[in-house]
Amino acid sequence: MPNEWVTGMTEPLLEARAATVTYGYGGAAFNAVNDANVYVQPGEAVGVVGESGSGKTTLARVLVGLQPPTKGNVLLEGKPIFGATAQRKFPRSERWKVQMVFQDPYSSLNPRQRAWEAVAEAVSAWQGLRGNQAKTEALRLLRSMGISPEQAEQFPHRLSGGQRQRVSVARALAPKPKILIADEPTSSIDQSAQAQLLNLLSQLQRESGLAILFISHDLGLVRYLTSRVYVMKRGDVVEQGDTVRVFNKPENPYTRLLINSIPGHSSLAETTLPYES
Amino acid sequence: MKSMTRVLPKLNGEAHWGVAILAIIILLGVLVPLLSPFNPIRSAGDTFITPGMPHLFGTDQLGRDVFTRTFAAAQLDITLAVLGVAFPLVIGTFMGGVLGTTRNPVVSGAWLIIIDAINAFPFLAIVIGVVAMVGSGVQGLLIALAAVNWARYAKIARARALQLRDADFIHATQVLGYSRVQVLTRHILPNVYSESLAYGLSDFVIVIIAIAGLSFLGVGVRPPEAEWGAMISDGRPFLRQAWWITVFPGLTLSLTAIGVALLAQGLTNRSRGED
Repeated sequence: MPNEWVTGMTEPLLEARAATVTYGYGGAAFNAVNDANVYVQPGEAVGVVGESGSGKTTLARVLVGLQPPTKGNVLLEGKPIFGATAQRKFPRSERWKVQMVFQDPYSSLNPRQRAWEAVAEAVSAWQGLRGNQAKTEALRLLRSMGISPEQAEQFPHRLSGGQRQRVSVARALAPKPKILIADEPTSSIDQSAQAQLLNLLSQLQRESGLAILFISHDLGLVRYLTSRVYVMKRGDVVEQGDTVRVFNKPENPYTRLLINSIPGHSSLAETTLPYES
Repeated sequence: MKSMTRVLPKLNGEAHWGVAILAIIILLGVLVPLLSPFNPIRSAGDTFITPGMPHLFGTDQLGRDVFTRTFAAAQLDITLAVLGVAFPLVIGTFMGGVLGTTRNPVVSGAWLIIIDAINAFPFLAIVIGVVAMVGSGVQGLLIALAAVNWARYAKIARARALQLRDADFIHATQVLGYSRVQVLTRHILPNVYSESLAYGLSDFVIVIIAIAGLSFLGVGVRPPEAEWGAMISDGRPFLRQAWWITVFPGLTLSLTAIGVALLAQGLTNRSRGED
């Protein structure tokens, strides 16, 4: 099944193996994710696209360890993260390796924490820094995300959606993760803020070797940011492969439909990128 | 946390009235030992003197100055009510936060039955029941209030914590691998306590009336201590001849309750307007 682009030279960093998530029981049961095999290599940028309800977010929750799959498992550097016991919890010592940016910037920050406090808390938890040192490191991370020290003093309700998302990214970077899972991080922020966030993510991936799993319904963004892509439909992975190949020569009719529904898709099929850094 | 200086200027009309009423009563309560030459628990002269000078509110059946007693009682009643709200608020909010985030359905289910059982009883009836067990007096009163009233705060805090549990910032704490204690103290409780405080303010009215009510019934503060409920009870046999023994403490109690209710209403309106 691995295509020519990935030749299995290295062990995947994070992998969902035959992961199925079933909601409901009996006749009402349905699979939000159905037998998904999805992996990300170290330093790789991978996309997951699909319409709403296709199981993208559930897949993200499974990969980040928020929710155990009903069947199958998630492997982090080759080791299964969910044990066979009833608890099925992500081991805490491994937590830092996989971080996440959530879809809704309005609920992903604690309303009672200043921006820097949210980041400093994660810094304290994983870098062993305390007090002023943790704050300095938090401010440095925030600045690298384009958040000024003045903005860092604000509570979330004083920040824009785009600023909040960048605070969330800074918080997610504090444990120095190996992979960042971004679940529709740009879907509720404005265009210019989207471009800024995408450029930051792209830069992180290229310069610091952070692997990114970018989940979106927006094919243009996925094309800009990722080199490999999975297409999901109603819980199934219907197509996967090199992003350029999938966009230029989609094999699955559903993928073709998705691509054709992008406004001005013919220009997107060429090598120009929608966002320039 | 919002400082009072930022909150107060934004208060609306009713809340200003509430603050003004409470400020006058509390100020008189604090200043009465300086203002009044009389001792609240000693006779100050003849019995049943009608209100006038120097006995502004008259004297009672033992010749004690009713003005001095009324505001000495303000100190005691308001302090007791603050404590009677604070203990259950802290205990209940913490319990509710824990129960709202626990992943053990048996433990939380068992506690929920206890909470619902306590809340199902009429408030005063169960407080009297607990006072009967732990003994009357100031201490028994506070223990009884804490033992009963925490369940209401726990119910509110648990409901709020259950909502929060599905918020992305709580999911983020799991992804970041924070300990349960850290999630509870830094993420759940700071977002739960404001609802407890809002309820606490309206609860204050209930509690201060309960304290006076229990003392009126003879299971609260003991004589000769000046306490509104006890004073009302003392004056009741003489209501026709000496109305002032009963009416002044009753009026002050009512005004205090109204003041707190106005303040609570004003704060509620303000937070509604803001969100």
